Amino acid sequence: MSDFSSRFARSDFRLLVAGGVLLLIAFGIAFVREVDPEWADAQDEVQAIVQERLGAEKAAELPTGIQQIWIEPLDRVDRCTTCHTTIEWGAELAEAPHPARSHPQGLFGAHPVESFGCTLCHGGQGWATSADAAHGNVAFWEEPLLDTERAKRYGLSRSELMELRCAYCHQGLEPVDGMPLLNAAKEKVFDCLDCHRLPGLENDKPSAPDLGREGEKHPSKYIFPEGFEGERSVLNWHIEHFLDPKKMSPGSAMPKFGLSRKDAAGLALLVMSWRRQDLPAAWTPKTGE
Amino acid sequence: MSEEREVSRRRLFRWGAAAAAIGGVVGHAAAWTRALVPNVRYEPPQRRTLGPLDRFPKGRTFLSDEKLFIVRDKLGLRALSAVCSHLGCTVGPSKAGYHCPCHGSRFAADGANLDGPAPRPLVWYALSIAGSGALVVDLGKEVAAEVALEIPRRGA
Amino acid sequence: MSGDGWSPRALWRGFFPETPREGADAIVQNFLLHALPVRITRRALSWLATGWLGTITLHIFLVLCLTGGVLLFLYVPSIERAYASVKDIEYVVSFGSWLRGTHRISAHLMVAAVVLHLVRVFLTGAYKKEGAPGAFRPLNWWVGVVLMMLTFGLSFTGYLLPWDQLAYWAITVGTQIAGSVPFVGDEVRMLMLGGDTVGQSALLRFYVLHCFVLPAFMIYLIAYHMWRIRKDGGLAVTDRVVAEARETARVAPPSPGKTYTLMGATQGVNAQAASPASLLARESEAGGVSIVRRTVAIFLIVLAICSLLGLAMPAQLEEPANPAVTPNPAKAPWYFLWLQELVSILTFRIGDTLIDGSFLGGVLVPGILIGLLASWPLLDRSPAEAAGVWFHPSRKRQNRVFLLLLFAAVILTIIGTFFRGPYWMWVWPWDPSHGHASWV
Repeated sequence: MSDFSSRFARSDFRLLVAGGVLLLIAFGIAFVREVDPEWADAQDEVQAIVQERLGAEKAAELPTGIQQIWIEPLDRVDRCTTCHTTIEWGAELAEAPHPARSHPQGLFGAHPVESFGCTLCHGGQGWATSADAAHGNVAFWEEPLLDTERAKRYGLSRSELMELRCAYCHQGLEPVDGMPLLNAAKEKVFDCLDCHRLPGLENDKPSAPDLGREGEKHPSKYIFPEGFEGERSVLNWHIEHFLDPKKMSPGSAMPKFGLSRKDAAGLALLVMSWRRQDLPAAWTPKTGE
Repeated sequence: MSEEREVSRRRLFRWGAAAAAIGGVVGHAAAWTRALVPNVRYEPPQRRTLGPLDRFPKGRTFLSDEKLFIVRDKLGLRALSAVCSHLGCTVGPSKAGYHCPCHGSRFAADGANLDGPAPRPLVWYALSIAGSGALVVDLGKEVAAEVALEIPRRGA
Repeated sequence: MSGDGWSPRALWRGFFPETPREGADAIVQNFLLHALPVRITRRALSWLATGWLGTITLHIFLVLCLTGGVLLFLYVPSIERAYASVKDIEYVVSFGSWLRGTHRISAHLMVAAVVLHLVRVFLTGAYKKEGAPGAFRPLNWWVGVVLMMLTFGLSFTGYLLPWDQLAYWAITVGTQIAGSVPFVGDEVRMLMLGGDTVGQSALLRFYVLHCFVLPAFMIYLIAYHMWRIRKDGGLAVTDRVVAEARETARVAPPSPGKTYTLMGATQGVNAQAASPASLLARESEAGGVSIVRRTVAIFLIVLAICSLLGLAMPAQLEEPANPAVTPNPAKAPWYFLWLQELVSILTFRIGDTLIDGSFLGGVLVPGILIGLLASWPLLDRSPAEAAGVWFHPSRKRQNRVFLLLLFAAVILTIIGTFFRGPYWMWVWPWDPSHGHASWV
């Protein structure tokens, strides 16, 4: 036996014990995280609200576990309904606090949630199952949730800001129902034809950059002037540029038009929507629709 | 006495250490295997919209995506699964009922298994009409063969 | 059951030895243990001799195989699905984020452990050709160099799989450097990518290399690497123990007149116990139990550290790969950043001639270094005593040069990682960086 009890036996045994304990700790942390995810708390919250307002019977109908809307033709997945379990419940929860609030049902008519999902209109990260990541407030996610708070930064209402995402599919320069801000911008934008090419409109002698695909220009390609204080976003760049072109791109030949901030925001959103549509034929809206 | 206690204390410590190591490894193995159990599915939903009612004339209409026969007769509309209860092949219509091409099972018009290896009748699913007037099937809800959806009268 | 029938005891025979004899038998009888030496010297068992870095590397590789084996079922190697399947692993697979984090951090740790292992072997002169009859350690050194390159290859091919901006541009930059090899560079690059740019065929190639080809070579060579240690007479440090035992036997020879002296008895060098073999026996012990215990302890610790780090430092996933938008700067994986840094330093203009740094820094320098590493066992003229000894005086100069080169690579890696910003310009890590703008 003495042969085996080398001077390493004791220290190696300690190492074994330490390894075992650390392994248990690692497993314990992972296990606790797995059984109590953030979305489960949100589901509990909805459960409590529904129970209080509509009774236990209704609360029992709520789904549990991760929910997803899979839009196969667009290769999109939205898991928003994991927390927002009651978006289709109608008027009885219309005034309830988030995440239990139901979606205005009228808007589902042309865009049923089972075939459009959520993020197509609202922005955000459909894959995610934690609030920050899902609302897009994380690094490396470029399309955040277009909420009231974000809209306020540009002096817009939430639905006005969301017109950007409407226009990703509903393109063209004809007015479209339900997009008042962009419809107003579309009336003004024909003046730009004096110098620019616009999507779908020929200009034989353009003297300024082609704007046909301006919306595809990546945020990393926008240069902000030295010491720029405001929101560093493409939308804000365009707004400031419409208000004072030379401030954002020195040496520009574009004149000041004396637009209001709201008009500038509408034009900025319109310009940002000028990108190629990547939709299956069945999904492409007709002109002016 | 105290030496004995020392020995048993040491033995307890050893067993505890072994338990921690084995527990830690088994925990990891179990967790990493659990990763293979899917939490979400990339499959069409169980409730599916099949289209307006006039797509389904009298008789049997086969829907290949849903593997369904929509049967329209004097009872109304019913949805019969075309998945053979034997090994899951898709059955085809025959004169009096249905016939499975894989192993020759035959079914009556009401789905009852008549002949061949099929152990059970074919399954009937619940139909309903959506707000838009389209026919909707719920593949998660089985019903008896004689439960039919009454066809609403035009203009009613 | 009769005595010579099969008994379930055969399954665990040798796992609980009660005597040194049984311990030694276990190694001969048990397939899993037969790679271990029957006896091991105390010095080989010590932490100071080797740091057990090879065993640590092996176990990190094991952790990578375990986590990678699970990820293999969850990941889809197509440019349409790859990014989405990694998002799914992060957000909806149970323990998925932990698995991926552990796999990623283990990959980084393995690169580090392999390099440290090489540094240890160099500084102790353990690659030297002088050894016991039949031993030829340079062969195992060469196998080790190949294993190191396989490790880089595994890490590099795994880098592309998430198909995000980081992956896409690191591989674009990395393969561009491979393309600057004279004569065959373009062909090599074409073979790696299956096209001119990083696309679906590149993803599939990297996937097959990462999940099948390179691990297969790796497993085979690791087995060979460990078998060679036994063929070379154990670790180099064992040679020292043997030599010292001979020395002792020579210095204190048994008294010619007497077969037994009191001095000899106390020192263990009388006629019965004066042979080097018996001296060696006093320096060693039965290998099985202590090595198995040590190996299991290292496995548990390595798995625990990888697992905890995987929880604490989840793997990032950047924006989906976008060939139209190059991040500024685009950096290679960290262990290649010293090369990228060299490339940028060595690209300059003399008059009208542009010196192409990507050939100098990306191909020539690493080529020379690998060539030197490979040929060094044949060039090293230090005496046999230098094998298995840390910083042997006779190897002072080569150790200094080696450490200097290593230091330079580390410094360049640190510069490339923390001090390079947009356009590969110098930045301070504490400078505020704006990143790029957002959409809204």
